[in-house]
Amino acid sequence: MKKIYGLLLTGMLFLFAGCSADLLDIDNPNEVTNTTYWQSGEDAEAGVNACYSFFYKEGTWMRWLSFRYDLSSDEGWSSSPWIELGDWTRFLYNNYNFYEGNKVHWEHFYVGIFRCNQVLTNVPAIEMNETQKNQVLAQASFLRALWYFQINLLWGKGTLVLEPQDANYIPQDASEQEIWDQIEIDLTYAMNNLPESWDAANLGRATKGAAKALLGKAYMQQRKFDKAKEQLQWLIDKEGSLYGLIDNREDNYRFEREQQRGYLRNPVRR
Amino acid sequence: MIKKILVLFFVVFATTTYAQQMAITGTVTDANNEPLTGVNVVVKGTTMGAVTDIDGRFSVQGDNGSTLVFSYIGMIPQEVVFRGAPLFVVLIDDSKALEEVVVIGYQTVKKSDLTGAVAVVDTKEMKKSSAGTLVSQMQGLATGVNVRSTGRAGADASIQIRGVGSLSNNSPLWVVDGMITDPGVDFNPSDAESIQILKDASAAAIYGSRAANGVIIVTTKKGAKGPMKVNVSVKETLEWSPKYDLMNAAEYIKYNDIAYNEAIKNGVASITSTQQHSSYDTNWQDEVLKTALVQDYNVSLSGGGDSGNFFLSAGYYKNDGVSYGNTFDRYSFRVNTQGKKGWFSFGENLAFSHTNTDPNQTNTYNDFLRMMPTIPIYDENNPGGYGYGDQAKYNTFGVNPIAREDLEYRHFRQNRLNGSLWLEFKPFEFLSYKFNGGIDLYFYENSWFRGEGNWTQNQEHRDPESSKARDNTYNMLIEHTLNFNKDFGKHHVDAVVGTTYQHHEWEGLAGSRLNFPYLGNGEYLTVLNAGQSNQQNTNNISENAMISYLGRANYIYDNKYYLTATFRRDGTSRLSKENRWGNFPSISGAWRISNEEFFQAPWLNDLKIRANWGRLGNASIGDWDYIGTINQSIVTVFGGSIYSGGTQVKLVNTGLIWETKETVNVGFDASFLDQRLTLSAEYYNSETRDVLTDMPIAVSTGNQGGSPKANAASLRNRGFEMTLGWRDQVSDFKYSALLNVTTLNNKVLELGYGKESIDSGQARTILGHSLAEFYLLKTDGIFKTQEQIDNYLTEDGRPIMINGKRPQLGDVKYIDMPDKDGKQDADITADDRVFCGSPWAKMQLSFIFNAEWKNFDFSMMWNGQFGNKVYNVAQWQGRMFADNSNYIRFKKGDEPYQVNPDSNSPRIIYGDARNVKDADRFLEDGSYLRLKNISVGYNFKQQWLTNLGIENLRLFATGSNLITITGYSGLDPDFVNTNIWNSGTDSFAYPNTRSVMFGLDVTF
Repeated sequence: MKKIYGLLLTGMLFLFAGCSADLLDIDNPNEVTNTTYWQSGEDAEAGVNACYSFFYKEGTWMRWLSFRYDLSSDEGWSSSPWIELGDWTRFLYNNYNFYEGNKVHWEHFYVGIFRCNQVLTNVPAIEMNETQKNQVLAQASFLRALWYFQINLLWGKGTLVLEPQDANYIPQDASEQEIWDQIEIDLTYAMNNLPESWDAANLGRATKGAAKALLGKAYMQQRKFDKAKEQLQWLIDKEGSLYGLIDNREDNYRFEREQQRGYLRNPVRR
Repeated sequence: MIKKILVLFFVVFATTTYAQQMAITGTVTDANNEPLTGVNVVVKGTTMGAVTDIDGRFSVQGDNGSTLVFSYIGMIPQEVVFRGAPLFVVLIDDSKALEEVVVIGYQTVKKSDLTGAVAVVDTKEMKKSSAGTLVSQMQGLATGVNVRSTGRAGADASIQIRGVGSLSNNSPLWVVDGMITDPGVDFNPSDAESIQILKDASAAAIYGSRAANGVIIVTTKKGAKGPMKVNVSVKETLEWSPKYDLMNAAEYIKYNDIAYNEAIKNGVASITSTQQHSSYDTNWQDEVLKTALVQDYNVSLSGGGDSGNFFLSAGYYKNDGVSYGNTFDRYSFRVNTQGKKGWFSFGENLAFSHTNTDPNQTNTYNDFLRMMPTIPIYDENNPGGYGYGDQAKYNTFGVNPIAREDLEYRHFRQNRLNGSLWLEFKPFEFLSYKFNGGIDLYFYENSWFRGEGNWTQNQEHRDPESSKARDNTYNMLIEHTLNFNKDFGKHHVDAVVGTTYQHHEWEGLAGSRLNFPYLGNGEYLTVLNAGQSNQQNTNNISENAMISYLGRANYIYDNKYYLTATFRRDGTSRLSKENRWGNFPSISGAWRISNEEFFQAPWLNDLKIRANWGRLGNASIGDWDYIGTINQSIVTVFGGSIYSGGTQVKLVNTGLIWETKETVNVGFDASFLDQRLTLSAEYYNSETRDVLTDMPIAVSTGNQGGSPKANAASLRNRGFEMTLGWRDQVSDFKYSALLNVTTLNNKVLELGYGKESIDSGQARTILGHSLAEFYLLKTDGIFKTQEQIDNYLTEDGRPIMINGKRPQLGDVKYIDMPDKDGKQDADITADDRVFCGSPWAKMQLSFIFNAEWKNFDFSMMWNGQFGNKVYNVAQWQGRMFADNSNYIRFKKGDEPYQVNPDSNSPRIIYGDARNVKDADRFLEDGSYLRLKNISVGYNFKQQWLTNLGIENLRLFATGSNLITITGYSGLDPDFVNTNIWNSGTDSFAYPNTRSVMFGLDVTF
């Protein structure tokens, strides 16, 4: 009797010992993985939409970038009891690791660039309408150039990241001129593939004129005034149809006037 | 006449004695017939006693029929009834200490047979603590174990075994009655019967992949054979918090005006006058901190017979919190039963607990410092009606802690059911099969509501908002093990093989809305259905599983030579298929030298040396950290409408592998002088490779949502542990003393990806140094003479600037260090920082002393650490004259430069941060020695109590954290900073509370 039970229990052990390794294959039910995404036109559109969302973040025009630009210039000054923050608008840079004064811009610009790089790397392989695809790529190029423009404006150097990176990435220095050159490449592609205007539902997306204007500003920063004139001339030629001068200069600073006559952000500072 | 009186006297005398008193005599010997000197003889139920002489003889007054109790250190006590004849008593060695068994994971072995480093926590000592959670009661009770408590009600202490060996997860593995799960704040500490801590590879290897941070095995109480016992314990504790020495309104105004006037004199932008101080004088600390009452009640029933036993307990714990807005309570129930029939036995342990926590929304210790005394608590001119910063009167962004706690409501409610069930078949004496199943189910609810109103200056308006989250956790374990145990002559072999499967699933569901109806008097309707707009919801799932195969074999020859081999193979769902499995072996040996014939010394009872090597693992990362995912809830706006976007937000490293830790441990255990002196010491060296870490990567990759996990670093921890114990008895005074000493040396061997350093807060981690060493600006006092200022130049004569200007008299002298090219840059920047000290203690120790005399018992525990430094952020904030804040009182002679030019305190100035930079001025020595617990108790042993059926009645009082000897000026040198990259910075950490507890423990 005892022997039977003895055999029974060793038998049970072998039964359970064969625990299936499949039990360890558990999929993530919360999100789509990056190997299964980037398949359709909708994915491409969603990808480029995500690039735009970085306009309204703490480190960009929602908060700290406006603070930085407006208050370092003659348009405003800081009386904040937060001394370290105020110091940044007074050109007293004691700690480059200060988050709200410096680090947040670097961080948010490169997130914007990362999103553009995802689009520029993954969308060309998608099978979709060619015009649409080129417009998606052009918008991503414009936005990437816009971020690199800010980097050159604030620091005069940076690192050139043109593809999505992984955790192994170690940054290499890129000089101001190398970044300007990349901006020129991106904006040239953008202006050749962006429409002159979008319908009402897509109002706010980058246009040909925006790319030309930004390139013009980029040339002006490099003091290449002739090349700037070439780009900006196109905008002047379009006066009356797409663009025009604003009557009241102060309207530049009112949010109600933002959409007025194709207002282009960021007047040149230097 | 006299005769009559004498007779009367005699009769009275005779009747006033209960019975005929006579001399009871006898002799006491040991098992070898040797007389025992100094044996304590007591007549039970009285205080009559004697001690045996050099020949083992004694004489004591007693009655016919009284029971005599014989006790001697190291011997089993005996009770003998006196029937008239002289007594001959033989006392037997109490080898209980040697026979004590410990649980080491899937097996129980004799403590004396251990080949690995296992610490056994004295649960009786734990009872003297007034802390409410299991972990916080363990402080100081084991070497190599560092427990750091917080003062927050409802928050658990943190525990580290032998240092920080991992960068992702440093919590040890907890096994409670065979179920692998964290006891947390839900576990009632009175239910713990024994706790073993497995510190090295040999002991912990059987848990393989999760044992890299050590394993703690908790066994709960079981019933004992005999009639039912009832135990009731009541503990009432009063606790309070230490306080800063802050200025009152008059002192604050005086110094604030000096700072503002200095700013005006120096042309600081936009400062034209001092503040328009109000006439309020608010003492924020007194308003927020109070003496809290902590109540802890426990009842248990236990008993058993030949075929089974049972244990039931119920407990209620309530802490009404020293800080405003922080409370915690817990209801707990437990049922443990065991049964046996023939070769089949079973057992179950099931516990249910219900906890409620009302946490602090704000760090009140930070707020005390930032809120000036001139700010009123209530101000009807502010939305919500609370006082806070005002640009003209008291310009600060400090948070009004009372406002925040009143306006924001948060409540955690958790129901937890956990336990295990085991079945064992033992058909043969040497072979048994055991099935073990465990569950841990949590139902957690987090309710949050924010009413309308502000608690700080410049706060944006927020609509009333309510949210509720419910999280369910299902954790399940199944184990099969086969145990073999047999002696073959002098050879003893025992072994275990088995397989385990653990599955963990969590689901969170939450909803929220805005705009809730206001009922007046600060009351709102907060149920979500009453919210009028902005319905939101979230839902996510976490799931992981692990399969393991394990085996261990122990071989002992003649109780002299020991050999243990362990092997474990683990597979986890948290790594990709190629990297899923890991192997974790270990080997250890020991030699009981004292049993060898060549080594015989009468003063040496036991000497065993042991050594082991093993590899353990860790993969406590997220469930899907190796797969990149797309976030599809990004939004953007075109043409006035919302469009959705999709993008990868967080980078991943697909090739993640197991983190492995190899440890070597060498030590010895010895006991001398009839077990009175015990000494145990060991040296350990552990190296963790492929450390799984959230290591920061280049920001320019655009990564967000936290750094990706990577196997990227290598750490080494090594040190020395020693326990020295003495116990003895002198007539009826018994005492014992225990000293635990631990040293720990932590070193970073590699940071991965070619990185050389990682900065965080006031610390920098660099290759070849320990984690989180302080990296700060160096100072050299203040400028007291113009000559000193004139000489403040670089080596080649250039004037050094501080914040764009030359220093003035009274300013802090910062050292301009040479940068990478070896040249000074004549400017004080973050590049001038240097290494200033380590947050790691060179030595930690604890000292426990116990004494018993007649019915009194006394104990005290001291613990401390030496050689570490602490960065005192509160001191920095209390000297923050550049921004508005309340200030810590100056000691006499330490007033700022404008008031006392002879002091070493710098010039105070508002709006200019030159004298308040993060620097070594705020780095202090964190060494301390603290009287952690001091306890006195009285055991009632009166006969009449025994007659009532009361077996044991004890009254006791314990004081905790009452004396701290330290040079640290902050609130508590023993604090928790959970950021391992900056662990030595005290950034308003909640201090340990001081407390006094009164308790009653009765068993009947």
